[in-house]
Parts: sequence; C-alpha cells; structure tokens
Amino acid sequence: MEKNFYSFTLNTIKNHSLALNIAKLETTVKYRRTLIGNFWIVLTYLITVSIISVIWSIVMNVPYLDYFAKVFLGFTSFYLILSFTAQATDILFLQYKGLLLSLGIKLNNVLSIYLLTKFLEFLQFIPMYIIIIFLAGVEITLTNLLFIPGLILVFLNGYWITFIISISCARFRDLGMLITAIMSASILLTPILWDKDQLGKYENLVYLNPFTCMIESIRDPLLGIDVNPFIYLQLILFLVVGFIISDLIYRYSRKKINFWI
Amino acid sequence: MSVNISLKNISLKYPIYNTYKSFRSLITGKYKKKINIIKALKNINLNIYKGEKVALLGRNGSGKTTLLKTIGGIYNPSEGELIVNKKYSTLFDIDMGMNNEATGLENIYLMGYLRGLNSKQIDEKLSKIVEFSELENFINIPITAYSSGMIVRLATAIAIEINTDILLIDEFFGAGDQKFKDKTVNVLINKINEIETLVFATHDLKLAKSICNRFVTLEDGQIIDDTKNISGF
Repeated sequence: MEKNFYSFTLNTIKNHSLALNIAKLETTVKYRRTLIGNFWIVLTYLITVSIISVIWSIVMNVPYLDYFAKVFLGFTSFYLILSFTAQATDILFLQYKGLLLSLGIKLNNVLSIYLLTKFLEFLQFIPMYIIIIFLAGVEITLTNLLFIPGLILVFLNGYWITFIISISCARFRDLGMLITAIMSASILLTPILWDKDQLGKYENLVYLNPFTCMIESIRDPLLGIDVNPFIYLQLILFLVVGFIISDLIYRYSRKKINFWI
Repeated sequence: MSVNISLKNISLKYPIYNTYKSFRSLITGKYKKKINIIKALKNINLNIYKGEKVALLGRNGSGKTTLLKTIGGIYNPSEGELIVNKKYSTLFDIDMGMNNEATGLENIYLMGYLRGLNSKQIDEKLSKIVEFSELENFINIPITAYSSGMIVRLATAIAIEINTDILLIDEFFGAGDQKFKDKTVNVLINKINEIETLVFATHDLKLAKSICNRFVTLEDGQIIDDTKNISGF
C-alpha cells in the first residue's frame, strides 16, 4: 500500500491502461440498448439547453445562438464538475464496493476507472463544441486551443476533488446529501446562465466560487474570449493545495478506507 | 522450504460504524456516535510455504474470510506483520465486477482487465475460457440473459485461466449444475497443482480434503488447530 498521496497518484498513472480499457468498455456498454447509443450523452444536454435558451436568451437580451452556445459549453463543463462532486459521493460504498472488497482492486485503480469513464463521456461533447462554435460564428483563432490546458487543469483538480469527496462520503454518510444540495445551488451560483458583468462592481466575487475558474478555463477559449491568466494561476493553486490536503487525508485514512466502505 | 505468506501476531479490529439513532435523539441531545469494534482476528501466527494448499476451516463468523481478505490486502491488520512474497490472485465473489449489459465475451475482457491482464494476454486465453465455460453459443449475448449457473460457468472459466503464484479462494461453488461443478473441481485441482500456494476458505471438508494438504481451523478469530491430516469436525 502506498505511503502517501503522491505515490498513490504515480501508481494511478502507471496503471492507466487497466482503467482506460475498463472505462472504454463501460462507456460502450452503458448506452448499448438505446437507439442512438452514446450520442444520448450529448443529446440530453442539447435538448435541455435548447429549451432553456428559448426563454433565457430573451430575458438576457442576447441572440439565441450566442446564448445557446455559451450555456451549452457552460453546462457541459459543469457536467464534468458534477462528476467530481455530487456524482462521486457514493462511488466507493455503492458503485465500486464489490471491486474494492471482493476483487481486491486497489483504490487508485477504482478512482481512475471512474474518472476515465467520466472523461470519455465528456469527450463526446467535443465534436458538438466544434459544430456549435461554428454555428455561433465564433472567430477561429489560436485562443480556442487554450481550452485544452484548461480541460487538463480541471481534470487534474477533479482527481483530488473526487478522491476527497468519495473518501469523506464513505466515512460520513450524511455528507453526500449535503454535497448534492450544495452542487444543485452551485449551478445557479456559477456564471453559466448569466454573465458575471451583470454583477457590476461585485463582478470579481464570482471567483470566490472555485467552479467559475473551472468553467471559464474550458468555455471561454472555445467562445474566442481571452482567458484571464489569473484563472490558470487559481487552478494551479487549487491543484497544489488540493494535493497537500489529499495527502494529509490519505495518510490518515489509507488503512481505514476499506472498513468505512 | 520458502515461505510465501507470513503472518506474525496478526490482529484485526473491525470497526462497525453504527449511527442507528433517530433524528429525534439527535436534536434532543440523546444521540451518541457509536463505533463498535469487533476483534475479528486475534494474534494469528501462520507461515504458509511454497507448495502448501491450505484449507481455512471453521464456522460462520470464525474469521476465515477476514483472514483471507487480510492476506489479500483488502483489510489492513491492526497489529502484527504480514508478508506476502509472491504475486497473488483472489477468488472471493466469483461474478463480482461483471457487467450485466455486456456480452459474455466483453465480460471475459472486463474480468481479465480487472485481474491485471492486458488485451493481448486475454486474447491468448480467450478460446480456452470460452471452451471451458461451454458457452460457445451464448458468448455474444449480454449476460443479463444468462442463468445464474451460466454466469458461474463464465466467471469460473475466467478465474481458472488466470495464472498466479498464490491463489486465495473464498468458497464459491454455490451455483451451476453438478456436472459443471465436478468439472470445475477437477480442473481446479489440476490448476492448483500448477500454482505455488493456495489458501482456501471453505465449509466443505470433503472438497478441502480433495484439494488441500494443510488444514487450519479458526474459532472466534483465533487458530485452534493446524494439521496436515484431518478426519472431520
């Protein structure tokens, strides 16, 4: 068993092929009995955002396509954040309990199976992003490519967030409900349906919400908006602090986790 | 003779997190957080050598499965020193990890990946697994359409084809028809001869005698008997 979170992470990377093979298989199988298969991942969001945008684009006084593009990119980026938070609350003691306690699969492999499954699901949005930014008339520049480092930073942060949330919720079973409630509110507190400049002089307060940086680092480059370097700095800072906290939690809990499950 | 598994003064305290109090007791202050500690293993000393096929015997709750899971790294001992010198594989819950929506063939890959094989290694074993399971005509349909016996066949076939130095088995011959069970036991006996060490938790003394050459009996988390020959309970 790894002694600290860093060697735990290194072994996660080392065993990535195991997790990737299983994640690919699970993603393929999940939608098999549906008519349009994995495209449902994208279609669900297309339907939701198309409907919301009809009224909200009028309320916000923005052309429909512009509003639709912004909200679709925001909502789907938030989907990734939900995977790390609200959806991760019960993965250890429900979804993957058998793998951990009956097959003896290591925790780092279980986490990477979960995260790579979610990441592969998220990748289904990428072709739709290209179509949407083309339809919305976004000027294609090198700025658009900045969504890649943004996505990587969000995913790396998602790794420690998923670790902390899944472990904590396995130990404290009330926490999952609390996180789900907070995340439901966070969708409305994060500038997805609205613009941060609508807050006027309080605009910068949105950055107190860590999900704002995550959304902006993926969404804004795709919309051709220059990303404030402060956002990358904040995401790197989250990553460092997150890994330090994860290490403390890991050292404390590494021998207890399977009993909590 | 080299030691493959060494347990020195192993004890395991199993915490049961129990918050069964009502919401009313929480707001009236009568709530008390309660963690029950069960001493599941007590001062276990056991060296298992290369070539030994060890049966763990005992009643339900005697500590067989906990000992097996401790050796398998699932539970960390509270005290003592555990050394496992070779690569091991576990057979605790035979169909665990299978995906009901996936076909038999996909489940072979899934279980293979979970047990540390890569696609190439699984490809090499595929025909043997399918043949052993006797599910050639059903291998491309989702296992949700399988009977429990068919699932056991598939899972057993996969498990048996995974090569390992040490095999840890919790009794799993629960389902499947008698003919397949007999075949599985026969193949398992042959397979076991190929592996270095077996630790097998079971209630089935007859089966244990046909497979094992050492018999360790547990009671209340302690070893009460350790013998090469056993006549009965």
